[in-house]
Amino acid sequence: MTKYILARLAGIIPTTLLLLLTVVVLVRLLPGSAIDALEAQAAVAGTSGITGEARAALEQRLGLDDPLPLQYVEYTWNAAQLDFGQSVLRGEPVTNMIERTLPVTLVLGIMALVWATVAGMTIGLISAVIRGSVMDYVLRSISILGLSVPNFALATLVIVMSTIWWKWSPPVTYTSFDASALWTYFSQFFAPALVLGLALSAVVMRLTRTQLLEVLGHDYVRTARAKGLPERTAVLRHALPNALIPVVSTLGLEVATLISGAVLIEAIFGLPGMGRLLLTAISERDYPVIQGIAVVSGMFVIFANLFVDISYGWLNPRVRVGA
Amino acid sequence: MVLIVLVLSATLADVVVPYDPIRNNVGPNLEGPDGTHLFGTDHFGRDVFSRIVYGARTSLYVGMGATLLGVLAATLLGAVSGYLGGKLDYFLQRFVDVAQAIPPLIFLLGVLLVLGPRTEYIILALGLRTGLSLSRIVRGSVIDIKAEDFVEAARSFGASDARILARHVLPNIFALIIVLVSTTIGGLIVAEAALSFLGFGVPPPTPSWGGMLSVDGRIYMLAAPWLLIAPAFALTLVVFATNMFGDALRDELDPRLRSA
Repeated sequence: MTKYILARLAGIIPTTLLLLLTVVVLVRLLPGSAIDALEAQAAVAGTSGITGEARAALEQRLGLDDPLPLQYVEYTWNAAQLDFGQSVLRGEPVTNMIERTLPVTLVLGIMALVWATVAGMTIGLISAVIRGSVMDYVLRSISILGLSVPNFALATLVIVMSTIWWKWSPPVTYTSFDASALWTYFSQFFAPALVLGLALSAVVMRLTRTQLLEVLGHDYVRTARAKGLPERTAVLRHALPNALIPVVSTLGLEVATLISGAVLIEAIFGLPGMGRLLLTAISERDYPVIQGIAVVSGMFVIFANLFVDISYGWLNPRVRVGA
Repeated sequence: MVLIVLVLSATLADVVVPYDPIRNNVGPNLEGPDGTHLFGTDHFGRDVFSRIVYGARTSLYVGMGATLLGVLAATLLGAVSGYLGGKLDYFLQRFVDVAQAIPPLIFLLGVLLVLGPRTEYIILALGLRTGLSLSRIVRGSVIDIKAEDFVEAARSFGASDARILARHVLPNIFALIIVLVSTTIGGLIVAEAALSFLGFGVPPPTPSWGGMLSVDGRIYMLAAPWLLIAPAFALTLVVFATNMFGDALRDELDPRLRSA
């Protein structure tokens, strides 16, 4: 098992290096450099633009005058120490900005993940047990609908409808974390997390249902039934754990989708998370910030999949052999 | 049924529509839905119904274009990577890893930042991303087929790699390709709408459902909720229909894929 984990850990290294390469090269390909953006801002502000020596100095500070391979090595070296450079426009270290916004995105993402998993698995289980009935058909149709509603459209409708019908609207201002007011803090995430997790819960539901139906046909479940165990025990104790293995691995793949969704949801509900920081950075062409966020979220996905791989090997010993 | 309406309204938009979708002041500003303006008008006095119908064209154009491009790229990449194997395969697969590690929206925004906002570039970016993801599935399938006896037989007759790929491997993944097309398109229609929603999509004044949901609608969402409701429902309905269609087609063509 240790060998399996080590092999998996080693496997993420080339991917991570390539991720950093992509991020560095992408910024080099950009048409307007960050300095042009700074200049445009200075022009709007009425101050003199950046020219000659100042420009060269700034290029040097951002490392833009170095050859590409050197830029790459430097960026990787710094990133390994969690240093993603400074925001061009604000001068603040990118690491600080991410540290400040990441918890918001994490709370949102984890809440969405938890409710989607619990609801999806429960409904999937019910749907599989009552397969073929009218209720099963209704549940499945609802899940395809849940899969089809774009989260940003739903988020917008939630805000509009709830304001018109119930005179309730999500809080406009964000309350930061305060241990004495936990309810106020967490309740502002309810609506966004609900919307963000909807599509995922539909995915989980459909997968749980099909996997469970497949497992229910296997010999060991028949044996469990044959030795007189109640249907309930046969399903919950013998079939469900095995049916959930592929569901868990799907969750790892869905992390990337969840982060994408968080960008939209944060923008709509006004949550100061990493997604909203990304959108601001893009509109301001603040490249070090964009790079930092791309790397951090990429690492999240890579580690989520690593975690899934490892738990997969733990749940299902057969996988380990091939590794 | 919904899909037929979608395709019809996209192709026949010029005939169906009562007003020019980008002409201002065809009616009073922010007027609620009534007989003359089926879904009301927006803040420029543009007819929302006409914009929805033309938006179908945008959605379909980008969605179809990106899907075809993506599946084509996936087929090429997956077939080459899976069939040839070895170092090239390893290298290509690490690239796919990276493309999948960067959350789709961040990847798309990054690519569009480099290329600039144009409808064709959106298709290119969406197609690229989809192609990389789907190539995994094609690759897996090609590896399976490569091990089949008929490929071995063709090789023993002295058929070249290119010939084996074209005559023996590709026809066998054709059903898979059709399934990929039909299950991908809904997601890409949403992706286009999401990009337009964030202001990185189809540039205005071209009507796009995503764009209508953001700038057009959000400012006036309480005074004129129809501005939001119409595109949101159009989008959901079309994606729902394509997903149902994709599901049905998948069950029909490839029962083994039913588990997903």
